[in-house]
Amino acid sequence: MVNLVTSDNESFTVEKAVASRSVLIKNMLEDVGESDQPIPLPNVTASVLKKVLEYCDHHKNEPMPTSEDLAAEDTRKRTTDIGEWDQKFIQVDQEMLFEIILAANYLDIKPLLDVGCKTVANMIKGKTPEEIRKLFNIVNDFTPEEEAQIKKENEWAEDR
Amino acid sequence: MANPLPELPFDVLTHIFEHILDERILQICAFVNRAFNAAATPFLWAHITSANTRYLTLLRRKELSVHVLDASEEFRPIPLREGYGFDTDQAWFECLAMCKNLRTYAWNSPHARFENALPILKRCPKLQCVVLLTQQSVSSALDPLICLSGLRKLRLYHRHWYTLSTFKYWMKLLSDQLEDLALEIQFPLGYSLSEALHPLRKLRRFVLSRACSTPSEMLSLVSHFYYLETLEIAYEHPLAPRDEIFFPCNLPSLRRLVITQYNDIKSKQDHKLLFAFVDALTAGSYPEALLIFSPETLPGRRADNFVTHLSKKHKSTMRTLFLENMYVGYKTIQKLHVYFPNLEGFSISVGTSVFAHMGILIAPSVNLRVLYLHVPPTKGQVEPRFEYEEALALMLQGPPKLRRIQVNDNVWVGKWETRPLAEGGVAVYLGVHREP
Repeated sequence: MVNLVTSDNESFTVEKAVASRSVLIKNMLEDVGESDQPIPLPNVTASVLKKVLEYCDHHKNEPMPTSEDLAAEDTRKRTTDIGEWDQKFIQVDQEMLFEIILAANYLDIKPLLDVGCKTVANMIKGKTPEEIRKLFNIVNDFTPEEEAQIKKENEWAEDR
Repeated sequence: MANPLPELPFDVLTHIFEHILDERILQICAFVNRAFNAAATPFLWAHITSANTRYLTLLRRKELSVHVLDASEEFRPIPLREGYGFDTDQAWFECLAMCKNLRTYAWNSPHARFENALPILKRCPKLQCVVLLTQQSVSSALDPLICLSGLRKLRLYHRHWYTLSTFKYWMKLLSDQLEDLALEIQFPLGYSLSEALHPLRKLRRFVLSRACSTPSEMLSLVSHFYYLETLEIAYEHPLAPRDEIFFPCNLPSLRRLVITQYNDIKSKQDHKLLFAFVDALTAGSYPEALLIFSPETLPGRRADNFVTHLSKKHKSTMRTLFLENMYVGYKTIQKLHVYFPNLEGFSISVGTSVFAHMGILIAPSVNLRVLYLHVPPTKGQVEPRFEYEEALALMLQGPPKLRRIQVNDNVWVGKWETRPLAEGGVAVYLGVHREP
Protein backbone atom coordinates (compact mmCIF):
# COMPACT_ATOMS: atom_id res chain seq x y z
CA MET A 1 0.00 0.00 0.00
CA VAL A 2 1.05 3.58 -0.65
CA ASN A 3 0.29 6.63 1.44
CA LEU A 4 -0.38 9.87 -0.43
CA VAL A 5 -0.74 13.25 1.28
CA THR A 6 -2.57 16.09 -0.46
CA SER A 7 -1.95 19.83 -0.32
CA ASP A 8 -4.77 20.21 2.21
CA ASN A 9 -3.12 17.57 4.38
CA GLU A 10 -5.47 14.69 3.83
CA SER A 11 -3.89 11.32 3.49
CA PHE A 12 -5.02 8.51 1.20
CA THR A 13 -3.85 4.94 1.45
CA VAL A 14 -4.14 3.10 -1.86
CA GLU A 15 -2.87 -0.04 -3.54
CA LYS A 16 0.47 0.31 -5.24
CA ALA A 17 -1.10 -0.75 -8.56
CA VAL A 18 -3.56 2.14 -8.32
CA ALA A 19 -1.00 4.79 -7.35
CA SER A 20 1.39 3.57 -10.03
CA ARG A 21 -0.95 4.66 -12.80
CA SER A 22 0.74 7.96 -12.14
CA VAL A 23 4.17 7.89 -13.77
CA LEU A 24 5.32 10.52 -11.27
CA ILE A 25 4.39 8.35 -8.26
CA LYS A 26 5.62 5.18 -9.98
CA ASN A 27 9.04 6.75 -10.48
CA MET A 28 9.09 8.05 -6.92
CA LEU A 29 8.32 4.58 -5.59
CA GLU A 30 11.06 3.08 -7.73
CA ASP A 31 13.55 5.68 -6.53
CA VAL A 32 12.68 5.35 -2.86
CA GLY A 33 12.21 1.59 -2.82
CA GLU A 34 10.10 -0.08 -0.12
CA SER A 35 9.24 2.64 2.35
CA ASP A 36 6.37 3.63 4.61
CA GLN A 37 7.09 7.30 4.06
CA PRO A 38 4.02 9.19 2.85
CA ILE A 39 4.33 10.77 -0.59
CA PRO A 40 3.46 14.47 -0.54
CA LEU A 41 1.46 15.80 -3.47
CA PRO A 42 1.61 19.56 -2.91
CA ASN A 43 -0.20 20.43 -6.15
CA VAL A 44 -3.30 18.30 -5.59
CA THR A 45 -6.21 18.82 -3.20
CA ALA A 46 -8.09 15.99 -1.51
CA SER A 47 -11.29 16.43 -3.52
CA VAL A 48 -9.35 16.21 -6.80
CA LEU A 49 -7.11 13.34 -5.70
CA LYS A 50 -10.19 11.37 -4.69
CA LYS A 51 -11.52 11.72 -8.21
CA VAL A 52 -8.15 10.93 -9.81
CA LEU A 53 -7.78 7.80 -7.68
CA GLU A 54 -11.27 6.71 -8.73
CA TYR A 55 -10.01 6.83 -12.32
CA CYS A 56 -6.77 5.01 -11.48
CA ASP A 57 -8.65 2.34 -9.58
CA HIS A 58 -10.99 1.67 -12.48
CA HIS A 59 -8.10 1.39 -14.93
CA LYS A 60 -5.59 -0.33 -12.65
CA ASN A 61 -5.64 -3.63 -14.53
CA GLU A 62 -5.11 -2.14 -17.94
CA PRO A 63 -1.63 -2.27 -19.44
CA MET A 64 0.33 0.95 -19.06
CA PRO A 65 0.78 2.76 -22.37
CA THR A 66 4.23 1.97 -23.71
CA SER A 67 6.37 4.45 -25.54
CA GLU A 68 5.52 2.58 -28.73
CA ASP A 69 1.82 3.12 -28.05
CA LEU A 70 2.44 6.79 -27.50
CA ALA A 71 4.34 7.03 -30.75
CA ALA A 72 1.63 5.21 -32.65
CA GLU A 73 -0.94 7.46 -31.05
CA ASP A 74 -0.36 10.19 -33.59
CA THR A 75 -3.07 8.78 -35.76
CA ARG A 76 -5.45 7.87 -32.99
CA LYS A 77 -5.21 10.70 -30.56
CA ARG A 78 -6.71 13.21 -32.88
CA THR A 79 -10.13 11.68 -32.55
CA THR A 80 -12.29 12.91 -29.75
CA ASP A 81 -13.92 9.60 -28.91
CA ILE A 82 -14.08 8.93 -25.20
CA GLY A 83 -14.85 5.53 -23.68
CA GLU A 84 -18.18 5.04 -22.00
CA TRP A 85 -16.99 4.79 -18.41
CA ASP A 86 -14.57 7.67 -18.89
CA GLN A 87 -17.36 9.79 -20.31
CA LYS A 88 -19.48 9.33 -17.21
CA PHE A 89 -16.46 9.83 -14.99
CA ILE A 90 -15.61 13.17 -16.57
CA GLN A 91 -19.11 14.59 -16.27
CA VAL A 92 -18.12 17.05 -13.56
CA ASP A 93 -18.38 20.80 -13.22
CA GLN A 94 -15.92 22.83 -15.19
CA GLU A 95 -13.74 23.78 -12.26
CA MET A 96 -13.31 20.13 -11.30
CA LEU A 97 -12.63 19.24 -14.95
CA PHE A 98 -9.78 21.74 -15.08
CA GLU A 99 -8.45 20.59 -11.71
CA ILE A 100 -8.47 16.98 -12.92
CA ILE A 101 -6.57 17.98 -16.07
CA LEU A 102 -3.99 19.89 -14.04
CA ALA A 103 -3.60 16.98 -11.61
CA ALA A 104 -3.27 14.46 -14.48
CA ASN A 105 -0.64 16.68 -16.03
CA TYR A 106 1.28 17.02 -12.75
CA LEU A 107 0.96 13.36 -11.80
CA ASP A 108 1.75 12.28 -15.38
CA ILE A 109 -1.31 10.12 -16.02
CA LYS A 110 -1.46 10.35 -19.81
CA PRO A 111 -4.76 8.53 -20.42
CA LEU A 112 -6.57 10.70 -17.86
CA LEU A 113 -5.01 13.84 -19.31
CA ASP A 114 -6.29 12.71 -22.72
CA VAL A 115 -9.83 12.16 -21.43
CA GLY A 116 -9.84 15.64 -19.88
CA CYS A 117 -8.34 17.34 -22.93
CA LYS A 118 -10.71 15.59 -25.32
CA THR A 119 -13.62 16.76 -23.18
CA VAL A 120 -12.41 20.34 -23.35
CA ALA A 121 -11.78 20.00 -27.11
CA ASN A 122 -15.39 18.87 -27.51
CA MET A 123 -16.58 21.86 -25.49
CA ILE A 124 -14.70 24.22 -27.80
CA LYS A 125 -16.13 22.82 -31.03
CA GLY A 126 -18.81 24.93 -32.65
CA LYS A 127 -18.22 28.01 -30.50
CA THR A 128 -17.20 31.54 -31.41
CA PRO A 129 -14.12 33.15 -29.80
CA GLU A 130 -16.40 35.18 -27.55
CA GLU A 131 -18.31 32.08 -26.46
CA ILE A 132 -15.02 30.31 -25.71
CA ARG A 133 -13.86 33.28 -23.60
CA LYS A 134 -17.11 33.18 -21.70
CA LEU A 135 -16.92 29.43 -21.21
CA PHE A 136 -13.40 29.51 -19.84
CA ASN A 137 -13.69 32.85 -18.10
CA ILE A 138 -10.87 34.28 -20.19
CA VAL A 139 -10.16 37.94 -20.88
CA ASN A 140 -9.36 38.99 -24.41
CA ASP A 141 -5.86 40.41 -23.99
CA PHE A 142 -5.24 41.25 -27.65
CA THR A 143 -4.74 44.82 -28.73
CA PRO A 144 -6.96 45.87 -31.67
CA GLU A 145 -3.84 45.85 -33.86
CA GLU A 146 -2.99 42.30 -32.88
CA GLU A 147 -6.55 41.20 -33.55
CA ALA A 148 -6.41 42.78 -37.01
CA GLN A 149 -3.09 41.04 -37.62
CA ILE A 150 -4.48 37.61 -36.76
CA LYS A 151 -7.49 38.29 -38.91
CA LYS A 152 -5.23 39.13 -41.81
CA GLU A 153 -3.22 35.94 -41.37
CA ASN A 154 -6.37 33.86 -41.48
CA GLU A 155 -8.16 35.66 -44.26
CA TRP A 156 -7.60 32.91 -46.77
CA ALA A 157 -10.03 30.73 -44.88
CA GLU A 158 -12.90 33.09 -45.43
CA ASP A 159 -12.88 32.79 -49.20
CA ARG A 160 -12.73 29.02 -49.23
CA MET B 1 -19.87 35.24 -9.56
CA ALA B 2 -18.42 31.75 -9.82
CA ASN B 3 -14.85 31.10 -8.74
CA PRO B 4 -12.37 31.96 -11.46
CA LEU B 5 -11.36 28.85 -13.32
CA PRO B 6 -7.80 27.69 -12.86
CA GLU B 7 -5.64 28.79 -15.73
CA LEU B 8 -4.55 25.99 -18.03
CA PRO B 9 -0.81 26.01 -18.67
CA PHE B 10 0.59 26.14 -22.18
CA ASP B 11 1.39 22.43 -22.42
CA VAL B 12 -2.15 21.50 -21.42
CA LEU B 13 -3.59 23.84 -24.05
CA THR B 14 -1.32 22.10 -26.54
CA HIS B 15 -2.74 18.73 -25.47
CA ILE B 16 -6.25 20.07 -26.01
CA PHE B 17 -5.51 21.38 -29.49
CA GLU B 18 -3.91 18.06 -30.43
CA HIS B 19 -7.43 16.69 -30.40
CA ILE B 20 -8.82 19.34 -32.71
CA LEU B 21 -8.36 18.37 -36.35
CA ASP B 22 -10.53 21.01 -37.91
CA GLU B 23 -8.43 23.96 -39.02
CA ARG B 24 -11.36 26.33 -38.75
CA ILE B 25 -11.85 25.52 -35.08
CA LEU B 26 -8.14 26.06 -34.49
CA GLN B 27 -8.43 29.42 -36.19
CA ILE B 28 -11.27 30.39 -33.88
CA CYS B 29 -9.09 29.34 -30.93
CA ALA B 30 -6.32 31.60 -32.21
CA PHE B 31 -8.67 34.56 -31.77
CA VAL B 32 -9.52 33.86 -28.12
CA ASN B 33 -6.51 35.36 -26.36
CA ARG B 34 -2.73 35.36 -26.48
CA ALA B 35 -2.30 32.06 -24.62
CA PHE B 36 -4.78 30.26 -26.88
CA ASN B 37 -3.17 31.85 -29.90
CA ALA B 38 0.30 30.70 -28.91
CA ALA B 39 -0.87 27.12 -28.32
CA ALA B 40 -2.99 26.89 -31.49
CA THR B 41 -0.38 28.41 -33.81
CA PRO B 42 1.85 25.30 -34.23
CA PHE B 43 -1.19 23.26 -35.28
CA LEU B 44 -2.45 25.95 -37.61
CA TRP B 45 0.86 26.07 -39.41
CA ALA B 46 1.65 22.34 -39.47
CA HIS B 47 0.45 22.12 -43.05
CA ILE B 48 0.91 24.57 -45.88
CA THR B 49 -0.28 24.29 -49.44
CA SER B 50 0.36 26.30 -52.54
CA ALA B 51 -3.34 26.06 -53.42
CA ASN B 52 -4.08 29.16 -51.38
CA THR B 53 -1.96 32.15 -50.51
CA ARG B 54 -1.79 31.76 -46.77
CA TYR B 55 1.83 30.64 -47.05
CA LEU B 56 2.75 34.20 -48.03
CA THR B 57 2.41 35.08 -44.33
CA LEU B 58 5.63 33.12 -43.76
CA LEU B 59 7.53 35.74 -45.72
CA ARG B 60 6.48 38.34 -43.15
CA ARG B 61 6.60 36.11 -40.09
CA LYS B 62 9.54 33.80 -40.57
CA GLU B 63 9.24 32.43 -37.03
CA LEU B 64 6.11 30.51 -38.03
CA SER B 65 8.09 28.34 -40.44
CA VAL B 66 9.39 26.10 -37.62
CA HIS B 67 5.87 24.72 -37.20
CA VAL B 68 5.47 23.56 -40.79
CA LEU B 69 5.61 19.76 -40.94
CA ASP B 70 4.10 19.08 -44.31
CA ALA B 71 3.77 21.01 -47.49
CA SER B 72 1.98 20.26 -50.72
CA GLU B 73 2.52 21.75 -54.09
CA GLU B 74 -0.90 21.90 -55.68
CA PHE B 75 -2.28 23.17 -58.90
CA ARG B 76 -2.38 26.96 -58.64
CA PRO B 77 -5.31 28.64 -60.30
CA ILE B 78 -4.33 31.69 -62.35
CA PRO B 79 -5.66 34.28 -59.86
CA LEU B 80 -3.29 32.81 -57.31
CA ARG B 81 -0.34 33.11 -59.62
CA GLU B 82 -1.02 36.52 -61.06
CA GLY B 83 -2.29 39.78 -59.70
CA TYR B 84 0.04 39.95 -56.73
CA GLY B 85 2.63 42.07 -58.44
CA PHE B 86 5.24 39.40 -57.81
CA ASP B 87 5.93 35.79 -58.67
CA THR B 88 3.94 33.67 -56.21
CA ASP B 89 5.68 30.52 -57.46
CA GLN B 90 8.99 31.93 -56.40
CA ALA B 91 7.45 33.02 -53.10
CA TRP B 92 6.29 29.45 -52.48
CA PHE B 93 9.83 28.11 -52.83
CA GLU B 94 11.19 30.91 -50.68
CA CYS B 95 8.76 29.91 -47.95
CA LEU B 96 9.59 26.27 -48.40
CA ALA B 97 13.28 26.97 -47.93
CA MET B 98 12.49 28.35 -44.47
CA CYS B 99 10.73 25.19 -43.26
CA LYS B 100 13.53 23.23 -41.63
CA ASN B 101 11.22 20.78 -39.84
CA LEU B 102 9.45 19.57 -42.95
CA ARG B 103 8.51 15.87 -42.81
CA THR B 104 6.29 15.42 -45.85
CA TYR B 105 6.36 16.98 -49.26
CA ALA B 106 3.73 16.28 -51.88
CA TRP B 107 3.72 17.15 -55.55
CA ASN B 108 0.00 17.10 -56.14
CA SER B 109 -0.16 19.24 -59.20
CA PRO B 110 -0.23 17.70 -62.67
CA HIS B 111 2.12 20.48 -63.77
CA ALA B 112 4.49 20.36 -60.85
CA ARG B 113 8.14 20.49 -61.74
CA PHE B 114 10.70 18.98 -59.47
CA GLU B 115 13.72 21.12 -60.14
CA ASN B 116 12.61 24.00 -57.89
CA ALA B 117 11.73 22.04 -54.78
CA LEU B 118 14.41 19.36 -55.01
CA PRO B 119 17.45 21.36 -53.87
CA ILE B 120 15.41 22.69 -50.94
CA LEU B 121 14.14 19.28 -49.91
CA LYS B 122 17.58 17.79 -49.99
CA ARG B 123 18.46 20.16 -47.18
CA CYS B 124 15.48 19.09 -45.04
CA PRO B 125 16.98 16.72 -42.48
CA LYS B 126 13.61 15.49 -41.19
CA LEU B 127 11.95 14.65 -44.50
CA GLN B 128 10.26 11.25 -44.13
CA CYS B 129 7.61 11.11 -46.78
CA VAL B 130 7.46 11.99 -50.44
CA VAL B 131 4.28 11.99 -52.46
CA LEU B 132 4.33 12.13 -56.24
CA LEU B 133 1.07 12.77 -57.96
CA THR B 134 1.99 14.44 -61.17
CA GLN B 135 2.09 13.85 -64.87
CA GLN B 136 5.56 15.18 -65.37
CA SER B 137 8.05 12.51 -66.17
CA VAL B 138 10.31 11.80 -63.30
CA SER B 139 13.84 12.80 -63.90
CA SER B 140 16.88 11.20 -62.40
CA ALA B 141 17.10 14.41 -60.36
CA LEU B 142 14.76 12.69 -57.91
CA ASP B 143 17.26 9.93 -57.14
CA PRO B 144 19.17 11.79 -54.43
CA LEU B 145 15.88 12.66 -52.75
CA ILE B 146 14.62 9.10 -52.83
CA CYS B 147 17.78 7.83 -51.20
CA LEU B 148 17.56 10.26 -48.29
CA SER B 149 18.31 8.14 -45.27
CA GLY B 150 15.22 9.35 -43.39
CA LEU B 151 12.66 8.50 -46.03
CA ARG B 152 10.07 6.12 -44.61
CA LYS B 153 7.01 6.72 -46.74
CA LEU B 154 6.55 6.99 -50.44
CA ARG B 155 3.38 7.59 -52.39
CA LEU B 156 3.62 7.26 -56.14
CA TYR B 157 0.42 8.11 -57.90
CA HIS B 158 1.63 9.15 -61.22
CA ARG B 159 0.82 6.25 -63.38
CA HIS B 160 3.18 5.39 -66.17
CA TRP B 161 5.37 8.46 -65.96
CA TYR B 162 8.32 6.69 -64.49
CA THR B 163 10.03 3.77 -66.07
CA LEU B 164 10.24 0.39 -64.51
CA SER B 165 14.01 0.57 -64.30
CA THR B 166 13.83 3.89 -62.38
CA PHE B 167 11.28 2.38 -60.08
CA LYS B 168 13.41 -0.71 -59.51
CA TYR B 169 16.40 1.44 -58.73
CA TRP B 170 14.47 3.45 -56.14
CA MET B 171 13.10 0.38 -54.44
CA LYS B 172 16.58 -1.02 -54.15
CA LEU B 173 17.77 2.20 -52.55
CA LEU B 174 14.85 2.13 -50.12
CA SER B 175 14.93 -1.56 -49.29
CA ASP B 176 16.17 -1.10 -45.73
CA GLN B 177 14.09 1.88 -44.75
CA LEU B 178 10.70 2.07 -46.47
CA GLU B 179 7.77 1.34 -44.14
CA ASP B 180 4.86 2.76 -46.06
CA LEU B 181 4.32 2.51 -49.80
CA ALA B 182 1.29 3.55 -51.81
CA LEU B 183 1.23 2.91 -55.53
CA GLU B 184 -1.30 3.73 -58.14
CA ILE B 185 -0.20 2.02 -61.28
CA GLN B 186 -2.02 1.14 -64.40
CA PHE B 187 0.33 -1.29 -65.96
CA PRO B 188 0.34 -4.96 -65.12
CA LEU B 189 2.07 -5.91 -61.94
CA GLY B 190 3.86 -8.67 -63.77
CA TYR B 191 7.03 -10.35 -62.74
CA SER B 192 9.34 -7.34 -63.13
CA LEU B 193 7.41 -5.04 -60.83
CA SER B 194 7.00 -7.77 -58.26
CA GLU B 195 10.69 -8.35 -58.42
CA ALA B 196 11.27 -4.62 -57.91
CA LEU B 197 9.15 -4.62 -54.78
CA HIS B 198 10.53 -7.75 -53.17
CA PRO B 199 13.43 -6.03 -51.40
CA LEU B 200 11.01 -3.94 -49.31
CA ARG B 201 10.97 -6.31 -46.38
CA LYS B 202 10.30 -3.68 -43.75
CA LEU B 203 7.03 -2.55 -45.25
CA ARG B 204 4.25 -2.10 -42.67
CA ARG B 205 1.68 -0.48 -44.89
CA PHE B 206 1.13 -1.22 -48.54
CA VAL B 207 -1.50 0.33 -50.76
CA LEU B 208 -1.84 -0.87 -54.32
CA SER B 209 -4.44 0.87 -56.43
CA ARG B 210 -5.76 -0.04 -59.81
CA ALA B 211 -3.33 -2.81 -60.43
CA CYS B 212 -4.19 -4.87 -63.46
CA SER B 213 -3.07 -8.08 -61.88
CA THR B 214 -4.41 -11.43 -61.02
CA PRO B 215 -4.96 -12.29 -57.37
CA SER B 216 -2.16 -14.85 -57.61
CA GLU B 217 0.32 -12.20 -58.68
CA MET B 218 -0.70 -10.01 -55.80
CA LEU B 219 -0.49 -12.84 -53.33
CA SER B 220 2.98 -13.75 -54.45
CA LEU B 221 3.97 -10.10 -54.10
CA VAL B 222 2.58 -9.36 -50.65
CA SER B 223 3.80 -12.63 -49.20
CA HIS B 224 7.25 -11.01 -49.09
CA PHE B 225 6.10 -8.32 -46.68
CA TYR B 226 6.24 -10.26 -43.43
CA TYR B 227 5.78 -7.20 -41.18
CA LEU B 228 2.76 -5.83 -43.02
CA GLU B 229 0.08 -4.36 -40.75
CA THR B 230 -2.15 -2.66 -43.29
CA LEU B 231 -2.88 -3.87 -46.79
CA GLU B 232 -5.15 -2.09 -49.23
CA ILE B 233 -5.61 -3.54 -52.67
CA ALA B 234 -7.78 -2.12 -55.41
CA TYR B 235 -7.79 -4.12 -58.59
CA GLU B 236 -9.52 -4.06 -61.89
CA HIS B 237 -8.94 -6.98 -64.16
CA PRO B 238 -8.27 -9.57 -65.24
CA LEU B 239 -9.76 -11.94 -62.76
CA ALA B 240 -7.99 -15.13 -62.06
CA PRO B 241 -8.54 -18.12 -64.27
CA ARG B 242 -11.47 -19.90 -62.78
CA ASP B 243 -9.56 -22.94 -61.70
CA GLU B 244 -6.83 -20.98 -59.98
CA ILE B 245 -5.65 -22.20 -56.61
CA PHE B 246 -4.24 -19.63 -54.23
CA PHE B 247 -1.32 -20.25 -51.95
CA PRO B 248 -1.87 -18.95 -48.43
CA CYS B 249 0.08 -15.91 -47.24
CA ASN B 250 1.82 -15.66 -43.94
CA LEU B 251 1.37 -12.09 -42.72
CA PRO B 252 1.22 -12.49 -38.94
CA SER B 253 1.02 -8.75 -38.20
CA LEU B 254 -1.79 -7.94 -40.61
CA ARG B 255 -4.51 -5.98 -38.80
CA ARG B 256 -6.35 -4.22 -41.57
CA LEU B 257 -7.27 -5.54 -44.99
CA VAL B 258 -9.15 -3.49 -47.57
CA ILE B 259 -10.08 -4.98 -50.92
CA THR B 260 -11.74 -2.92 -53.62
CA GLN B 261 -12.82 -4.66 -56.75
CA TYR B 262 -13.72 -2.76 -59.86
CA ASN B 263 -14.73 -5.76 -61.88
CA ASP B 264 -18.21 -6.92 -62.45
CA ILE B 265 -18.41 -10.17 -60.61
CA LYS B 266 -21.56 -11.97 -61.32
CA SER B 267 -21.07 -15.67 -61.37
CA LYS B 268 -20.86 -17.93 -58.39
CA GLN B 269 -17.37 -18.85 -59.47
CA ASP B 270 -16.20 -15.22 -59.42
CA HIS B 271 -17.44 -14.83 -55.87
CA LYS B 272 -15.74 -18.02 -54.85
CA LEU B 273 -12.49 -16.60 -56.18
CA LEU B 274 -12.92 -13.38 -54.22
CA PHE B 275 -13.53 -15.31 -51.04
CA ALA B 276 -10.59 -17.60 -51.71
CA PHE B 277 -8.43 -14.52 -52.25
CA VAL B 278 -9.47 -13.09 -48.87
CA ASP B 279 -8.85 -16.46 -47.29
CA ALA B 280 -5.38 -16.72 -48.75
CA LEU B 281 -4.46 -13.20 -47.65
CA THR B 282 -5.61 -13.75 -44.08
CA ALA B 283 -4.40 -17.35 -43.80
CA GLY B 284 -1.65 -16.48 -41.34
CA SER B 285 -3.20 -13.48 -39.63
CA TYR B 286 -6.02 -12.29 -37.41
CA PRO B 287 -7.16 -8.96 -38.82
CA GLU B 288 -9.25 -6.57 -36.77
CA ALA B 289 -10.68 -4.90 -39.82
CA LEU B 290 -11.83 -6.37 -43.11
CA LEU B 291 -13.38 -4.12 -45.71
CA ILE B 292 -14.53 -5.38 -49.10
CA PHE B 293 -15.92 -3.04 -51.71
CA SER B 294 -17.22 -4.37 -54.97
CA PRO B 295 -19.58 -2.82 -57.51
CA GLU B 296 -21.81 -5.82 -57.90
CA THR B 297 -24.21 -6.90 -55.22
CA LEU B 298 -23.73 -10.34 -53.88
CA PRO B 299 -26.99 -12.18 -53.37
CA GLY B 300 -27.98 -13.89 -50.16
CA ARG B 301 -26.78 -17.35 -49.18
CA ARG B 302 -23.38 -16.83 -50.80
CA ALA B 303 -22.91 -13.78 -48.60
CA ASP B 304 -24.38 -15.62 -45.62
CA ASN B 305 -21.97 -18.47 -46.17
CA PHE B 306 -19.07 -16.07 -46.46
CA VAL B 307 -19.90 -14.37 -43.16
CA THR B 308 -20.23 -17.74 -41.45
CA HIS B 309 -16.95 -18.81 -42.95
CA LEU B 310 -15.18 -15.64 -41.77
CA SER B 311 -16.48 -16.05 -38.26
CA LYS B 312 -14.91 -19.48 -37.96
CA LYS B 313 -11.47 -18.01 -38.12
CA HIS B 314 -11.81 -14.39 -37.09
CA LYS B 315 -14.55 -14.65 -34.49
CA SER B 316 -12.92 -12.93 -31.56
CA THR B 317 -10.51 -10.58 -33.34
CA MET B 318 -12.81 -8.92 -35.86
CA ARG B 319 -13.86 -5.41 -34.86
CA THR B 320 -14.71 -3.82 -38.18
CA LEU B 321 -16.42 -5.70 -40.97
CA PHE B 322 -17.56 -3.85 -44.07
CA LEU B 323 -19.25 -5.99 -46.68
CA GLU B 324 -21.11 -3.21 -48.36
CA ASN B 325 -22.77 -4.86 -51.28
CA MET B 326 -23.34 -8.26 -49.81
CA TYR B 327 -26.92 -9.13 -48.99
CA VAL B 328 -27.32 -11.26 -45.93
CA GLY B 329 -30.45 -12.79 -44.55
CA TYR B 330 -32.32 -12.73 -41.28
CA LYS B 331 -30.37 -15.56 -39.66
CA THR B 332 -26.97 -14.03 -40.26
CA ILE B 333 -27.96 -10.74 -38.64
CA GLN B 334 -29.60 -12.63 -35.80
CA LYS B 335 -26.38 -14.53 -35.13
CA LEU B 336 -24.08 -11.57 -35.61
CA HIS B 337 -23.23 -11.35 -31.91
CA VAL B 338 -22.27 -15.03 -31.94
CA TYR B 339 -20.26 -14.78 -35.13
CA PHE B 340 -18.32 -11.67 -34.08
CA PRO B 341 -18.82 -10.85 -30.39
CA ASN B 342 -16.38 -7.91 -30.44
CA LEU B 343 -17.72 -6.23 -33.56
CA GLU B 344 -17.76 -2.41 -33.33
CA GLY B 345 -18.34 -1.36 -36.92
CA PHE B 346 -20.52 -3.19 -39.40
CA SER B 347 -21.63 -2.46 -42.95
CA ILE B 348 -23.94 -4.75 -44.86
CA SER B 349 -26.86 -4.89 -47.27
CA VAL B 350 -30.22 -6.21 -46.16
CA GLY B 351 -33.66 -6.56 -47.68
CA THR B 352 -36.54 -4.45 -46.42
CA SER B 353 -38.02 -7.21 -44.31
CA VAL B 354 -34.73 -7.83 -42.48
CA PHE B 355 -34.36 -4.07 -42.10
CA ALA B 356 -37.75 -3.84 -40.43
CA HIS B 357 -36.63 -6.33 -37.76
CA MET B 358 -33.09 -5.03 -37.44
CA GLY B 359 -33.69 -3.48 -34.03
CA ILE B 360 -34.40 -6.81 -32.39
CA LEU B 361 -31.83 -8.69 -34.44
CA ILE B 362 -28.81 -6.53 -33.58
CA ALA B 363 -29.73 -5.89 -29.94
CA PRO B 364 -27.36 -8.60 -28.60
CA SER B 365 -24.36 -7.11 -30.46
CA VAL B 366 -23.42 -5.10 -27.40
CA ASN B 367 -20.15 -3.69 -28.73
CA LEU B 368 -21.60 -2.29 -31.93
CA ARG B 369 -20.94 1.44 -32.28
CA VAL B 370 -21.40 2.16 -35.96
CA LEU B 371 -23.79 0.56 -38.41
CA TYR B 372 -23.99 1.24 -42.14
CA LEU B 373 -26.85 -0.38 -43.99
CA HIS B 374 -27.85 -0.65 -47.58
CA VAL B 375 -31.46 -1.29 -48.32
CA PRO B 376 -32.56 -2.05 -51.89
CA PRO B 377 -34.13 0.58 -54.12
CA THR B 378 -37.77 1.38 -53.60
CA LYS B 379 -40.09 2.09 -56.46
CA GLY B 380 -41.41 5.57 -57.05
CA GLN B 381 -41.92 7.87 -54.12
CA VAL B 382 -40.36 7.22 -50.80
CA GLU B 383 -43.26 5.39 -49.33
CA PRO B 384 -41.58 3.30 -46.67
CA ARG B 385 -40.09 6.39 -45.08
CA PHE B 386 -42.08 6.17 -41.88
CA GLU B 387 -41.58 2.47 -41.51
CA TYR B 388 -37.87 3.10 -41.92
CA GLU B 389 -37.98 5.65 -39.16
CA GLU B 390 -39.71 3.24 -36.85
CA ALA B 391 -37.18 0.55 -37.63
CA LEU B 392 -34.35 2.99 -36.92
CA ALA B 393 -35.88 4.06 -33.64
CA LEU B 394 -35.98 0.41 -32.61
CA MET B 395 -32.34 -0.09 -33.62
CA LEU B 396 -31.28 2.73 -31.36
CA GLN B 397 -32.87 0.99 -28.44
CA GLY B 398 -30.71 -2.03 -29.11
CA PRO B 399 -26.92 -2.13 -28.70
CA PRO B 400 -26.02 0.24 -25.85
CA LYS B 401 -22.95 1.68 -27.57
CA LEU B 402 -24.57 2.22 -30.96
CA ARG B 403 -24.06 5.85 -31.85
CA ARG B 404 -24.30 6.07 -35.57
CA ILE B 405 -26.59 4.46 -38.08
CA GLN B 406 -26.40 5.33 -41.72
CA VAL B 407 -28.84 3.90 -44.17
CA ASN B 408 -27.95 4.19 -47.86
CA ASP B 409 -25.75 7.01 -48.86
CA ASN B 410 -27.09 8.94 -51.76
CA VAL B 411 -29.97 11.10 -50.64
CA TRP B 412 -30.83 11.74 -47.03
CA VAL B 413 -34.51 11.85 -46.43
CA GLY B 414 -34.06 12.04 -42.73
CA LYS B 415 -31.30 13.07 -40.40
CA TRP B 416 -31.31 13.20 -36.67
CA GLU B 417 -28.48 14.22 -34.48
CA THR B 418 -28.71 14.66 -30.79
CA ARG B 419 -25.51 15.87 -29.22
CA PRO B 420 -22.22 15.46 -31.09
CA LEU B 421 -21.10 11.85 -31.25
CA ALA B 422 -18.08 12.40 -29.04
CA GLU B 423 -20.30 13.64 -26.24
CA GLY B 424 -22.37 10.49 -26.33
CA GLY B 425 -24.81 11.85 -28.87
CA VAL B 426 -26.57 9.77 -31.47
CA ALA B 427 -26.62 10.35 -35.19
CA VAL B 428 -28.94 8.68 -37.63
CA TYR B 429 -28.83 9.29 -41.33
CA LEU B 430 -31.51 7.84 -43.49
CA GLY B 431 -31.29 7.85 -47.24
CA VAL B 432 -33.48 6.01 -49.66
CA HIS B 433 -32.25 4.96 -53.06
CA ARG B 434 -34.56 6.31 -55.67
CA GLU B 435 -34.94 4.53 -58.93
CA PRO B 436 -33.56 6.65 -61.76
